[in-house]
Amino acid sequence: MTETVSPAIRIVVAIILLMVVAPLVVPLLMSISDTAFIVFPPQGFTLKWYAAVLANPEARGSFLFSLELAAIVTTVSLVLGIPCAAGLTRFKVPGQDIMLGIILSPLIVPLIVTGIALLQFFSMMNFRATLLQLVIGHTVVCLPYVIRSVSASFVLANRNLEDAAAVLGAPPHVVATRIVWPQVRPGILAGGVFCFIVSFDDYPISMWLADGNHFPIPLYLYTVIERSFDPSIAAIASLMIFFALLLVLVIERVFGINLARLAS
Amino acid sequence: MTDISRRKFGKLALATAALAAPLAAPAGFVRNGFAAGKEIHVGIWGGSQGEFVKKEIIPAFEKDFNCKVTAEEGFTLANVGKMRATKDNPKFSVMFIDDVAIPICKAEDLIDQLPKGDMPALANLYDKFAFGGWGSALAISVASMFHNTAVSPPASYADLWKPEYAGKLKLVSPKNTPSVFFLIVAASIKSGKPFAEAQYLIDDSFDKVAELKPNIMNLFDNGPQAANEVAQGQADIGLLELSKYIYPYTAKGAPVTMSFPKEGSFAGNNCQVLVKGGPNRDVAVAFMNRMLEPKVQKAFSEYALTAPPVSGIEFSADTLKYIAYPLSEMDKRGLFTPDWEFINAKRSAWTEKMNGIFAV
Repeated sequence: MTETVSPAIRIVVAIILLMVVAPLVVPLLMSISDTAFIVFPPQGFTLKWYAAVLANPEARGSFLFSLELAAIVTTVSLVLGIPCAAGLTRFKVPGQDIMLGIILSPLIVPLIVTGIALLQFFSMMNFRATLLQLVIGHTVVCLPYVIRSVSASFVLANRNLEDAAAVLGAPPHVVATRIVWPQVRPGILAGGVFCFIVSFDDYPISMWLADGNHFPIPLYLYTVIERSFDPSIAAIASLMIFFALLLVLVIERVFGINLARLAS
Repeated sequence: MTDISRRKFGKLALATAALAAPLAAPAGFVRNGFAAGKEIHVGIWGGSQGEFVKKEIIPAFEKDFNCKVTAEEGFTLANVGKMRATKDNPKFSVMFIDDVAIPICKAEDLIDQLPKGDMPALANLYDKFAFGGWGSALAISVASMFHNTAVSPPASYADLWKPEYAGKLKLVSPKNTPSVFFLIVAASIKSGKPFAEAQYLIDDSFDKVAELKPNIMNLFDNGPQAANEVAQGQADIGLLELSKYIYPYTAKGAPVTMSFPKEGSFAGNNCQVLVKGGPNRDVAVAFMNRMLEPKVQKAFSEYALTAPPVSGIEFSADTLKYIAYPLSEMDKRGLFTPDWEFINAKRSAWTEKMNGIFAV
């Protein structure tokens, strides 16, 4: 039994999709322009801006560093966030609401304020390890995304199934892996993806904490825009779009979770 | 006999050279030996200037002084913020900021005076770029209007208020330093007084600022992006921006260039300051001295198309097209440097008023 979608809804959806995708096409077109500066519509055709970006050690270094940083931050946030979300949703903890408020507060406070506060704190502590500073700073900002998403999964998980499994003799680790995990997995994955993207795209926290040896790609992009507004910037933007697309495809293939479930 | 003596002399000369070489090599390093193994953090600008500092100046300095310089790219307000946040335990030793922020840093006790005795390169610094010893300029840009080359720019700023420019101008955002230059221009047009006097009349000139609103297409906060948009014809004229952001496009053949109305232009002074209590002060001072050395200044100016603050540098005619140099040329062009101490005290109120007018 298939539901029929009215033509009006199809048209509205097509228009919305067009509005979402059209801005992404602009940098793609500008990145192939054979001019010394950005023009739209593009003039000529060249892939030299992609070659220039890929051959640039600064761009490569920043990109790889951002990947490394986002991977570490995602791991740390999941390790901290999953038990925290489970604890806050499944047990009565004194001061639960206050705790949740504190954990989620980085979503309310402007990131630029969080960044300078962290810099001041690390300076007072005489703590100079830049990578660790960035990991802590990004984790503070990313953790709320994991906790929100994982908490929602735990709240929606059917406790009766766990009770039934336990009554039928399943030990706790079996209940956890075969009953709870399949129900909370989409939430954990969504939290992880959000966390990775927020860390990978972060500018305001990195602006205060990064240094010349630890220079994430958003900071690099900003400096390149200030250096010269040539099509290599559009090429970097296009590569980041391709990377995001690749990330979604890999998640779809490896974890087998469709986009509708991820968004739910 | 003569042959044998010559051979012996040759051997002796070789042996002497062989012995002297290892002794002479450390002697070369001894001069800069104080810096060996030390590290300093330097807050620099982004843009083409930052690129040159990172890729050319720092590697050569590290090699000559056997030390490590870690550069962090930023901009004036962020760099001042970093100095404030780390004031009790400074991370940075040298910071690059615009002249606008030097009085603030001095008042907040964030910086030290430059030690003249340890910086021989200061001898060539023009007095007007020494800021009472609290820093030194490194590069001077001209701030003025920029326009698409298909458009004839007005000879006077006053013309920009005419209806023929309706919706054709891009105005610099109140967030950026050149917005202060715009306020001085508006005060000058309203009062008919030169920039030096008009800067003290800004409070009474916001009605003139508001009159320009119908001619403003939008505000910009990124100079290179604005230059690119004007080059593409999205707007006819941009006001005001530093030449270091515009001329690199002109030099690449983009249809955008700067113009200099009869009222005069402004000096955009990029400077360096010594952070108070910063780590490895001796290396920091040596680095600041290196930044002012003629060879470095010449290459730096030619790369970023900015004028050096030191005397005695020769430039090609091609470079001189884009910079105001030497000092007599800057004076001839009427490059005006505002009274930043007066302006800084009022700037946040003026920013609020600008935001109100342009609904940022």
